[in-house]
Amino acid sequence: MLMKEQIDYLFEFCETKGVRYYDVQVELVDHMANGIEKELAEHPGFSFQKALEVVFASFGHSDFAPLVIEKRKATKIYSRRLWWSIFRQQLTWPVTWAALGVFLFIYWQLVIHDNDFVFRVSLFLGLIALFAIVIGGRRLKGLQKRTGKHFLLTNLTGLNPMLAYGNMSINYLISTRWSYPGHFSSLVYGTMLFAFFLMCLAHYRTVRRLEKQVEKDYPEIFTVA
Amino acid sequence: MPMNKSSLYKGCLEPIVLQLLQTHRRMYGYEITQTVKEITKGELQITEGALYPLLHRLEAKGLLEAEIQLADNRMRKYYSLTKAGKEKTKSAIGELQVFMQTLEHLINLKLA
Repeated sequence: MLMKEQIDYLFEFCETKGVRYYDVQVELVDHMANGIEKELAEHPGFSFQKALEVVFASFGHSDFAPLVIEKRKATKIYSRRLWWSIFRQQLTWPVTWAALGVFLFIYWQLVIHDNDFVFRVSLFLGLIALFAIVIGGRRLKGLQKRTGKHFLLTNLTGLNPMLAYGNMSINYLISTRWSYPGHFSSLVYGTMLFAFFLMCLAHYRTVRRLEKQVEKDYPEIFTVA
Repeated sequence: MPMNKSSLYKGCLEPIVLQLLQTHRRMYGYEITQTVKEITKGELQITEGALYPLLHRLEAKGLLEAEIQLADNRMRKYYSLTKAGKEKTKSAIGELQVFMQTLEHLINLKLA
């Protein structure tokens, strides 16, 4: 069995080979440690360094960058799936009724008010989106600060509410550019608002879920820090 | 000229890994590479560069779930099949068997 100093060295080795994310390093370190232990058992004359060279050569690359690229792609799929599942979970009856109430209120306001009101509502929603991103981002930065580690898992977090907001605003502007906002465009805008609220909430809850997952998976770095 | 076996096995890697996890309940990356090597007596060697992207992809799709535990002085990531993963294993093995039969049929036809 390798000593703690040798395991620590393997973490540093991963870092020099292009892996800065702790959640990726953990798996690579275990793999290399297993390989080194096997090499040392089969070739008693081997030094730790020699065994490491042999094991690293089996990866077939000069660094771990291709593995990180693949892992990044997989993480993106994972966080999007998580975001989507949280988004769907929110569609319970109480949330749906509450959102429907908000939707009807905004729809009614849009119908009876002018474009200035719409502008104010849009500005307010933009601030909500920004708030969701800033708070989520701060939580993830706090996680890095507490542990001193970077995590690929928390590097991407589903659909960005700011993008959703931008998209929604552009759609609304396009629909009202050549005509005064009527029932139909208000209906469309109200529906988008309903989805938008749930998107922002899902974004924040995704961040929280990923944060909790990191705490559950790597308790050792939380007890040390 | 010798044929590159890795390219022959490449398309079968996913069902192989899924089947192994079905049999062993949970495994970690290095264990998978060594088990395949042992079972095939060294005929098939799964490279790390092929295995880990596959495991991560299957995990991202919700076919595998991972559990991290302390083992031998370090953290170890164990993979196991989810419910969806178990269903996928059945269909992947079924497809592989049909493919093997078709291949066998083609080869026998050529030899006859």
